[in-house]
Amino acid sequence: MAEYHNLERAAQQLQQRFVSLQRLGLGLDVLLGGVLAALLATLLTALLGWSVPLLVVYGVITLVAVGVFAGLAWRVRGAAFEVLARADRTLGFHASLSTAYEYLQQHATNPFVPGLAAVAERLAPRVDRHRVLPVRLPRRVWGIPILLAATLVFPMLKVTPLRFDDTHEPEVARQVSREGQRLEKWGRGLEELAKREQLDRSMILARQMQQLGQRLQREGSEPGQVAERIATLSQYLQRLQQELRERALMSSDTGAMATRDVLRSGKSVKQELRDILTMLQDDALPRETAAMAEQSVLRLSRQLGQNPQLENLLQNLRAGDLDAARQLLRDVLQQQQAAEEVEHLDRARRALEYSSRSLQRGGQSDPSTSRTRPQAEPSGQDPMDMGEEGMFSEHMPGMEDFSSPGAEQGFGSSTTNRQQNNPALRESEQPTSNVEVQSGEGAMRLSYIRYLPMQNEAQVPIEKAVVQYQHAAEAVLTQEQIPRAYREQIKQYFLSLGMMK
Amino acid sequence: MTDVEAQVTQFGEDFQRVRTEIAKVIVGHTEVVEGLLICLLCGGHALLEGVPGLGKTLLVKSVGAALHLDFSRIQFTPDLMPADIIGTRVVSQDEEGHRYFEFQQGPIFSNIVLADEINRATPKTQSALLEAMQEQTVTVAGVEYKLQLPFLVLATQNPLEMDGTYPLPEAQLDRFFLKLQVTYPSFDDLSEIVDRTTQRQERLLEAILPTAKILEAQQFVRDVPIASHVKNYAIRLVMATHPQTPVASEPVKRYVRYGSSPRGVQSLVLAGKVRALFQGRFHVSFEDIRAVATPCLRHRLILNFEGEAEGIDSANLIRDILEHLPEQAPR
Repeated sequence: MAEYHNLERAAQQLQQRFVSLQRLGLGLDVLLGGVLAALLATLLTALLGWSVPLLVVYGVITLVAVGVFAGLAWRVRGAAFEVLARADRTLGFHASLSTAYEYLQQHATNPFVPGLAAVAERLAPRVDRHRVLPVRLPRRVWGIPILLAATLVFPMLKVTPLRFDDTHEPEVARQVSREGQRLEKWGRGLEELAKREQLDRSMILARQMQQLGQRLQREGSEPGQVAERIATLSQYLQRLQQELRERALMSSDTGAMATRDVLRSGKSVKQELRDILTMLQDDALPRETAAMAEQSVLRLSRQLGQNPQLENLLQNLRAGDLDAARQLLRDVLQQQQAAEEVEHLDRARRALEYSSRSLQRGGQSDPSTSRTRPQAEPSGQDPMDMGEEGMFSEHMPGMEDFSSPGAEQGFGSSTTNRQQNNPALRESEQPTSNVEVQSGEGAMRLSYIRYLPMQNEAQVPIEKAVVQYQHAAEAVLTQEQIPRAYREQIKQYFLSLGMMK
Repeated sequence: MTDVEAQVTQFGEDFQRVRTEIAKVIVGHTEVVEGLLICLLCGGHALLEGVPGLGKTLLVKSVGAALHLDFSRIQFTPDLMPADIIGTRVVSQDEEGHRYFEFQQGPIFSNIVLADEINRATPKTQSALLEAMQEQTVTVAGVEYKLQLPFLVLATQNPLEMDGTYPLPEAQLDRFFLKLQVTYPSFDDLSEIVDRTTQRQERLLEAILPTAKILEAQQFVRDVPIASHVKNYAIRLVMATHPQTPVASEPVKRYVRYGSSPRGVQSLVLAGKVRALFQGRFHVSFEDIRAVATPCLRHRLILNFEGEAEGIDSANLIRDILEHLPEQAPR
């Protein structure tokens, strides 16, 4: 090999150029990476408001880049055979240089080697290393000045650091879950009460509240979505209330005997009325029982003040019209039931509103309701940690003034009522019926139309249902119990239902 | 000038003279002539394919005459028996009246054997050539007879008349070093053929190379250097003919059942070496490999049913591989 200087020199020159070009490419790649890292660091520093000086960051990046380049560049090698093969290909030497080099290195005894090497020696001076290994910069290198310019220009712009206030996702999830837990418990309590009082719609709503609570715990939605769901349930609840009010045909008189009113005897108005109705069960009423019933009505009337319905009842009893008296009592009790249900639903609505507000405030207690909490409650204690009874009786919004008639203890009896047992009668909050009546027509008898299909639950087409109800209404209208003045209005009501569709 | 350079120059000149001498009789067919010489120098055999009347027999005869080699011609027919090729033992009688068996050599005992229309003989007779082609010996009645060297079988087959023929089995096809396509002559060549063959004077060929020099050249050829990357290219080329390899092209995957055998690489490299010497070079280059790829590999590719049905020419598949296969192996 020693005597083939041209071939050796050409191989060395090509090797050196190959290594130089490889290192150049590597250096540019490292530079590109470094500039990119510097730009990212600049962006992050500006946007996140890091207090690290940029010069320090650039210095670290430069040191790392130099280290990486030195490590990789040191490993770059150029094989002489490879570069000579490339020269053969580029210059059209028919693999002369590479074959000669390989045979001189490995098969020097081959008889063809002297001739082969001689040819290679003649060809080697013609090797132009710049032609064999031209400088070809990859396109990505053009990104270096662009990135560099961006890195230098960006710090000159006054960029306000970003604030990520809403990044406490775990806290949000916990809050939603807690709210869901609360809603589920409230729903369970409401269902229990509704079952006890036989309030169908309240029971359905209470179950939906529970389901919503369970879903919130399970899915852990965003507070916005949760509030939306609660709002949807609230709307549904309001529709139920509206439906009840429309269907109940309640007069303003119904409010005079609210469900939560408690008499001095400790009995509720509803219980007292039921007792009177029980007394009037027999058609052949003994005189003593009739007198007892009359006394009870009188006592009730005295305690409740002037009540036209009780006055009518008293008149019927005195006239011996037991059928009318019983019907009047049943009507009053049904009114009580409806009023109770509306009131019950109203509490559920308030509970939902409370929950929604609580979510909007990020889990803070509602100041409007917190004042009703007993002062003895230790601060910071989670209402969920308390017993179910405690939670519903003291923390569920709308329950603070709730005292279920007949529910002397536990759920439904507010602390205030239990402690004070205030006999003062309060006017019902329910809106009055819009049914116009003519006065002076005698005793008004109201009939509830119960178990109408609730919204979104209809199984029968409206056309069929209306026809059925029209027939039922006509049958009721033919009865003598319906005052003549109301017949036309009831008829029009059912007709209007059909016309609307 | 070194000795090798002188030898290579002499080699090139000698065989150029042979080609010139053959050209006195054979018009055109330069590639076929070169292929025959490559086969001779590599110790291989050639399969000539072409329609009748293209001068295949004359070509082979001329090669034999120019190289001063014995020549015999066997016309393969369906009733040809192996003994008709190899020879047989016959009863002879000496001067004293004793009778003995004597081996009567068949036409295969010659330097150049022209197996004309080889596909017309039965497979049994075709296979009689197998041992002779591979081992360059024949065995009759347990006695092995060596054939004269150089030994070159040049078989011809007619691609048109396929009725009543026995296509050569793959094992026998693989034993042919090259498959050469004898094409129809051009207008000028045909004009020259007419002139030469319709004149009164018959052209006689001069023997250019003695047998010893041919045998020496056969050894000389094997020393021609081939660089590792050129050898790798030849190997990758053969591997690309196998449909199951990752380097196989789409047409190969679609139409080829089996690719070339290892004999394909051997023939590529050896033929490349001879071609390099013909070109006056001391080593094999990529061009040499590419130049001999088609005759070396075309008969070694076995097409699948789809390839046969669509009439795919294996030479086109090889050309496709050559177009797409890079010289430098991908890293």
